[in-house]
Formats: sequence, C-alpha cells, structure tokens
Amino acid sequence: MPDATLTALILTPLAGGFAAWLAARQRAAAARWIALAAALATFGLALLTWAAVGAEAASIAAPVLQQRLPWIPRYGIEYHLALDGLSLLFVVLTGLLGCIAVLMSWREIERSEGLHYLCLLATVAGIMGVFLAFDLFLFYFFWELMLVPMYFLIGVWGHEGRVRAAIKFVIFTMISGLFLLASIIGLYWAHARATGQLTTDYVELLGTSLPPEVGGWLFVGFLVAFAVKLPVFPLHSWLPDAHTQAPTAGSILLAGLLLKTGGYALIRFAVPLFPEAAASLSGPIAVVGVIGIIYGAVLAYGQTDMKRLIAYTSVSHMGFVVLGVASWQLVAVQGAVLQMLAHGLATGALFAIAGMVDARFHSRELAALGGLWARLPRLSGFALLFILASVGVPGMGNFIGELLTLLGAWAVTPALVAVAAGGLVAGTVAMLRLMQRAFHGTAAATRPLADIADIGGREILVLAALAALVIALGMFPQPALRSAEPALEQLVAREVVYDPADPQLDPRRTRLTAAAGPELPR
Amino acid sequence: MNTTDLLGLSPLIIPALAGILVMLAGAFRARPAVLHALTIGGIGLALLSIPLGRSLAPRDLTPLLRLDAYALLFLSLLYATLGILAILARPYLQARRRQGEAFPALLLFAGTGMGVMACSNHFASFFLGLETLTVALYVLLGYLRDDRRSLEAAVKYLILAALASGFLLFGIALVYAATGTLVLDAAARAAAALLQEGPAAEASWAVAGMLMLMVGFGFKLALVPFHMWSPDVYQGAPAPVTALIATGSKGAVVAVLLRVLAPDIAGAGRLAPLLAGLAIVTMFAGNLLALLQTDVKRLLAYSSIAHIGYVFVALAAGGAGGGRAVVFYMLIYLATTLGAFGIVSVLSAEGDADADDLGAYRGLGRRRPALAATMTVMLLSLAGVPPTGGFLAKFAVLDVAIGAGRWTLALAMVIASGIGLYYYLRVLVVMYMGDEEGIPTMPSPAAAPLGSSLALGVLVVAVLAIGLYPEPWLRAAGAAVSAVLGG
Repeated sequence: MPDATLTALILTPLAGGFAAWLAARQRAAAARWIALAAALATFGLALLTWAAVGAEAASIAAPVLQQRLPWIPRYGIEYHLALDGLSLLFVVLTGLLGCIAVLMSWREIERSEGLHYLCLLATVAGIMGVFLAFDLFLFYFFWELMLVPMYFLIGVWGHEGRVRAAIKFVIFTMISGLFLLASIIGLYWAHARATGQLTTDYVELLGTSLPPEVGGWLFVGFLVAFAVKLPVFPLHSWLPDAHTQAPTAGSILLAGLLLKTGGYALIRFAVPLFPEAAASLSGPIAVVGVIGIIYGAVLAYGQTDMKRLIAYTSVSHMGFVVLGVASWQLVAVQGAVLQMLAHGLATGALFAIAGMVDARFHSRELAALGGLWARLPRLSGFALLFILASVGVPGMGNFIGELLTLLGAWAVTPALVAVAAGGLVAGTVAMLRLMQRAFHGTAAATRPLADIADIGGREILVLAALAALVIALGMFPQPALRSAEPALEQLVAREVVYDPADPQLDPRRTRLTAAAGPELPR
Repeated sequence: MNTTDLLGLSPLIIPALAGILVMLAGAFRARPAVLHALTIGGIGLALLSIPLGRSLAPRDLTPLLRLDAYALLFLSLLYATLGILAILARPYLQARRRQGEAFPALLLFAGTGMGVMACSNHFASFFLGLETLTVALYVLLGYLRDDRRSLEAAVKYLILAALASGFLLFGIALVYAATGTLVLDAAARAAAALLQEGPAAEASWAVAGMLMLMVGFGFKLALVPFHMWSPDVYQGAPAPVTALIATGSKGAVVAVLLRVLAPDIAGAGRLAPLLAGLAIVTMFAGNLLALLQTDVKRLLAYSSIAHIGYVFVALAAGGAGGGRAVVFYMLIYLATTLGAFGIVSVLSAEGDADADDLGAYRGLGRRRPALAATMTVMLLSLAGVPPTGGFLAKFAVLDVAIGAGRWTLALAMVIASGIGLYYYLRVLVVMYMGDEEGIPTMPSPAAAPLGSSLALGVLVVAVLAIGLYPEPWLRAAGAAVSAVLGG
C-alpha cells in the first residue's frame, strides 16, 4: 500500500466535494451521485487500508503508512501524515459515516445542493486530516479547517434556530482552538529551548521534558480545546443547539465524528504530551467526566425535542470517554476508544432516525409523535435496536466500551466508577422515555394522518448497515481492540521515541538544527 | 548621481511620469479607456522595473533614498496594490460618470508618495513621500464632490492628517536635536542608544521625539487612541479610496515605522512596553467596536484597526523574528483587506450609492456566488482561519510573541481575535444564512466586469496560496527584514 494513500484519503472527499459543487450548476441530481461516489471511494480506500494494515502491529514511531514532506521548514513544520492502529479505526469510521451522511441528505436538501455536498465532504476531509496528522501544526490546521464547512452546514441547511446555533458552535470551538494554538506554540518553544531543535513533529515533541508549571498551563490549553469538542461538562452548551439545529447529515457528522476528534486528540495528544500535568489533574478531570455522565442523562430525560434528547445523551456517553482517559489505564482507554466507535455508529443512526421522522411528520417534538410503531414498524424496530445499543445492552458495541471503561477505571477511582455506573441507569431511563413517547403509546391527535410510508430502500440500507456494525462491534470487539492496542500500549506506557539509528531521520534533524541556530531567542 | 542611480530610481520615476502623462492626455481630451490604459501601463512598468532595482540593491540613491531588499519588497507590494485599485476603481467611476483624468493621475501620485516612503532613508524624503501621498488622498477622498459624506471624509482627513504631520515634524525635530542627524537608520540607531543609556538631557529629547513620532504614526495607522477619524473617513470615502487608505497608505507607513524602530527592536527593546500597550488597547478596542457595526465599511475599518494591533504585537515581541512577522503580516493584510474592500467596490459600482449597509449583502451567496465566495475567503483570512494566509499571519505573530516569552501579549491576542470572530461570522450569516424573503431585488448584472473579476481572482489565489504554501513568502519577508534589522 503506497504511503500516498493517506493524502488520497483526505483529497478524495475534498475533490469529490468540489466536483459535486461544479456539477450542481448543470444538474442537482448529478451532485448527489458524485458526492456519493466520492464518499464511497473514500470509504473503500479506508477499507483497503484496513485490509493492508490492520493485521500488522506497528509502533507509533514507525507506523506502517506514513508520509512526510517538508512544508514550512522555517518553523520546522512538516506535512506529516501517519496511520497506526488507533487512527485506522477512526479513519474507517469517518469513511463510513461520510457515506451515511451523503445518503441521508439525498432527499432532505432542497436548495444549494452542490454547496451542501461541498461542505459535507470538506468536513469529512478535515476530520480525516485530524485523524491522520502527525505534526501538531498540521493537526491544528485540519482541526480548524473542519469547522468552517460544518458552520455552513448548520447555518445554511439547518432548522429554525440555525444561525444562533451555528455561531455558538463556531465561537466555542474556535476560541478554544486559539488556546490550543497558543499551547502548541508554547510547547514548540519549550522543546526548542530544551533541545535546540525547532519542530512541531508529534513524536519528537512526545519526549519533551517541561517544568511542571509550564507543562500544566500548556496542558490546560490542549484540554480546553478538546474538552469543548468532546464535550466535557461545563463546556458543552454549544452541543445541544448545534446537534438539534443541524440538518440530519450535519448531526450525524457532529455526533458521529466531530465529538470523536476531541476524544481521539485527548488520547493521542493531550495526555501523552503532558503526562505529569495530566496525572496531577486526573482527579478533577475524572470528576467532571462523571458529572457529565449524570448531568447529560438527567437533562436528556427532560427534553421534549427528539434530537435534543439524543444530543444530551451524547454528553452523557462522552463522559465515559473522559473517565477512561482520566484513569489512563490501558483497559479503560481501550474502552474509551470502543465507546467512541460504538457511540458514533449508534448515535449516528439515532440522528438518522430522527431525520427520517422529521421528514415524515415535520416535527421532532415528542408530544406531536407517539404510536409510530403501528404505522412505521420497520423504522420503529430499528429505533428500538439503536436505543438498546445506546443504553449499553450486552451484545452491542456500547456495552463493551462502557464495561471496559468502568473496569479499567476501577483500579484508580472505584468511588467514581460506582457513581458513573449509576449514571448509566439515568441514561437508560431517558432513552427508554424516547422509545416510549415516540414509538409506543397512542398516536397524538395533532399528528397528520395522511398516508405516511415506512422507510424505503435507501433508508433501510443506511440503518441496516449501521445495525450490523453495532452488533458486530458488540459480538466481536477483538479486531477493533487489537488494532488500537499497540498504539495505546505505547501511549500509556510512554514508550514512543524515534529510533536514533533510523536513517530516514538524520538528515532532517541536522538541517533543522542548522536552520534553528540563529532563531533561538535571547 | 549617475545613470545607474537613475536606473535604480526608475520604480519611483515611472509612476510620477505616468501621472503627468495622464494629466496631459486629459488635457487633450483623451478617452477614459486611454487614460485607464496609461495608468495601468504606468503601474505595470513600475512593477517591471523593480527586478531592475533588485540587481542594484543594496544601494544608496542620493542620501535620501535607499534601495535594499526591504524597499523592493514593499515597492512590489504597494504597486501591486495600486494596480489592483486602479482596475477596481474604473467601473466604480464609470457608474458615477466621473471618469476624468484627475482620479488616475492622483492615484499615480499617491503611488509615487508610497514608493518614496518605502525607499526613504532620511526624514526629509519620508516626509516628502508622506505629504505627496496625503495631499493626493485629500483630493481622492472628496472626489465625489456632490456627495456630502465624501466631502466630510475629506475634511476630517485633512484636519487629522495635518495634526499628524505636525506631531511627526515635531518628533523629527526633537530626534534631530538629540542625535544630530536626519538620516533614518543613523538617527534611529543613535536614538535607540540614547534610550538605552545616554546622557540624561539628550535621552529625554530622544524619548520625547520618539513619542511624538509614535503619535504621528499612530494617527496614520489608526492606532487606538488615535483612531477616531478612521471609521468616519472609511465610511464616507468612495469605496476604492477607502481601500487605498486601508491598504497602501498603511503599508507605506509601516514600512517607515519598522525602519525607525528597527534598532530598538533588534536591541534593547526599550520601546517594547509602549508598543505592547498600544497593541493591547488597539486589538481590544478595534474588535469590540467592530461588534456594534451594521455598516460594512465601518466594520472593516475597525477590523483593520484591530489588525494593526496584531502587527504591534509582533513589533513589541521584537527581534529579527518580530520584524519578519511584521512584514509577513502586512503582506497578507494588504492582499486580504484589498480583497474585502474590492468586493465592496465591485458591489458599489453596480448602484448609485456605496454598498456599505450590511443589508446590501443579504443573500449574496445565492445571488452572486462567486463574489460571495471571494468575500468568504477574505473574511476567513481576516478571522485567521486555515487554509487562508490570515491564519499563517496570525501564527507567525503568536509564534514570535510566545517565543519571546510575552505570554500576556499572546493571550491578549488570542482573546481579542476570538472576539473578532463574531463580526466576521455575522457578515457570512447575512450572505448565506438569511431567510428567502428578505433578499433585496436589486438589479444584478450577470457578472462583475472582467478586470475586477481578474483582480479579485488574483487576490483569492494569493491569499490561499500563502495559506497553503507560505515558505517562499516567509523567505522573502525574512530576506527583506534582514536588510533592515540585520541577522
């Protein structure tokens, strides 16, 4: 498998987006097909990568696939993409949900279709870049890049309160992003002072020894940015608005992928780069994670808007990821990764279902629904499946994720784990309320009784694919666990360094040092 | 003075000659197309003569002017700006039936003034260049003489520019009294040495002189608290002239400012606290006041105030890196601001009044997708979002601030630009996210004039190219700055 595949994973959706945009000027339908083709090609590429790479255990410092080219040598910045087992899982998820998002936009988007697919696929490309970047500057580049098209997705094609939600989303994520940028530059200079070498390379920076106070502040900068994305409890307030107001495809990308970039970045960057700071703050982080679990579940129970309810359960589920990362035990972190994958599939599916309901009844209010099972048995069946998956019923991926997280964290914070397990019950109640109010019971009187069809071929395809994967992840979690294990093991054990004898690295090092000479500050 | 010197001076002589030629042609009632061709030709020739100067640099042309890599970089930037402005101004003037010879001639004279400032190595040539530029601007600002707001802008600018000139002259006199020389680099070096450890009396002359100079520069760059004039003038002026004040005029002033501050920045950094204070006040005031605007020209005026604040962050951080960040930032600032005002210009050329109300941009994404996309790129660059050049510019400034350990400044910049996001997003909201019914049904021609489209296209490509591959531009900025700061 050539290393350039990594660039292709980013460029395929981007190019497809532009092609769809141009094609839409002639025929709107062409835009859809081109977008679908691009999304499928991206997914196919991701699967091929899985097939080629999946079995090989590789170290982070020498990943199976990597591409590094000088980009801005003056700052020691490289175009460095790499794929290890951890990235691989998220790359595949991104490819899959990209296809789902395109399929769910098929009928829903009625104006500026070309621009819609451009924004959608550009978001996918940006997310792909986040999961592949091995250079902190490049990572930040993609991190911000994915926000702009997402802003347009929410703001242009969203529901009634879209503008406010879109602005809130961007303000939260971009301001926290600026702190991340400042922290990245701070780390870069700290590393340069310690080693005389200017670089933003991830593996090089991993070993930076920092004075505790400096490390603490820089870690907080990283943490704020990732915590807003994830989201962690006090920084979550953009999420319910954005998820509720976004079009279906936007909600799927937000819940399925964007939140995962936050969790991935915590595991990949924040904790490994600042291990001491992370260890000293792990207590408070675990506490806010558990608060998030309970808070999200309790607020979800109170919601009357279907999408808002699902959005709040996301806050709750992401709390487990925070708890797992805070404990920094191999098993718990594995659980967090699995939880993110399973949540991406199940919640993506739930938002797709909400979109299907909205397309039929023009309402997401629970009060206006009810008794859907009688009329739409197929849709309701899938809804039950994904709701059960989401509350963590054994046999489905979320169960494994939550179980491993709790098991792993038990070794560190048994008390918090007990509380978190209690939070599971609250989440279950909220989700079952959704099932009961919308799909069981009697039909609301206000519901239009015109002939409303059950889901058709395209919608069944989407839901069946997701259902198969959620169950597969629950029954056979081993391939996913094994894929991420080597990378996670090294991160948890802090054993990532470039082999000094690696011939690939030597010339670059000297060149950088030479360039850095006069640059170092007084 | 010999032939080689004359050759080196050609980037300054050509626009002046072209200006005279345009006036003469006007006297013989040449058609507007001919005048336009002469203008563009003059600017193009001036740009072409810059590589000629490159083979001579570095070289002192008379004691007044210095041709070095720094001057040449600013000359290219300023003339490119001027050329794009001339192209954008034409349809604007056509729509207002004011296609005389005066506008292009004045534009060329303003260009000459900016060119002299970029090359000046003497307070006398600096002041001459500045006044050439400023006098041309007085007339350009009031060019729509039937428009009350245009005249108001001209008078406001006249009074405040005169005040600024007064401060500058006083400052020059004091620096001369302290250092005994008017040659820019020598005077700046001596003043910096005096600031660091000089005999008390002379040091206080130098301090007073530098402060006066900073006030003068502050007025010209619209630093807070000397910014009061700028939103009114930006709003009232004809759109292409607004663009000129926001880009070329500020660019030329920064070119001189960096030469004046260079010894202090590269050395002791005695002025750093002053620069840092100005930077913080300017960033916050610019961004906070921009939040309240519903007029696009005023909004961009406050935005450009804030951006000069970011430039001052790099100045305050100092060192060769700081200088490089200043030049790199200005490069991107010029392209981006020119692009944003270019859109205002193009839209203004389609109606009787300038398109300055936000309402004129409602639904632009649907009505004029290409214009809206261009504006989006410019706004994202102003907001500092990848993959635009504005992001790299912001990165470069933050990098020197943090590298110099100036965390307060860096965090102030982070917070201020966070505030700034909001008003850039608001314009995007108006362009793309409005409701269907609110879209004004103004007569929209199928496309912008070819020249304007090309000019804007070049700017979009430049802004994205710098964002995606900044290395050559960083290298150019670094080479230019090392001519002034050394190292």
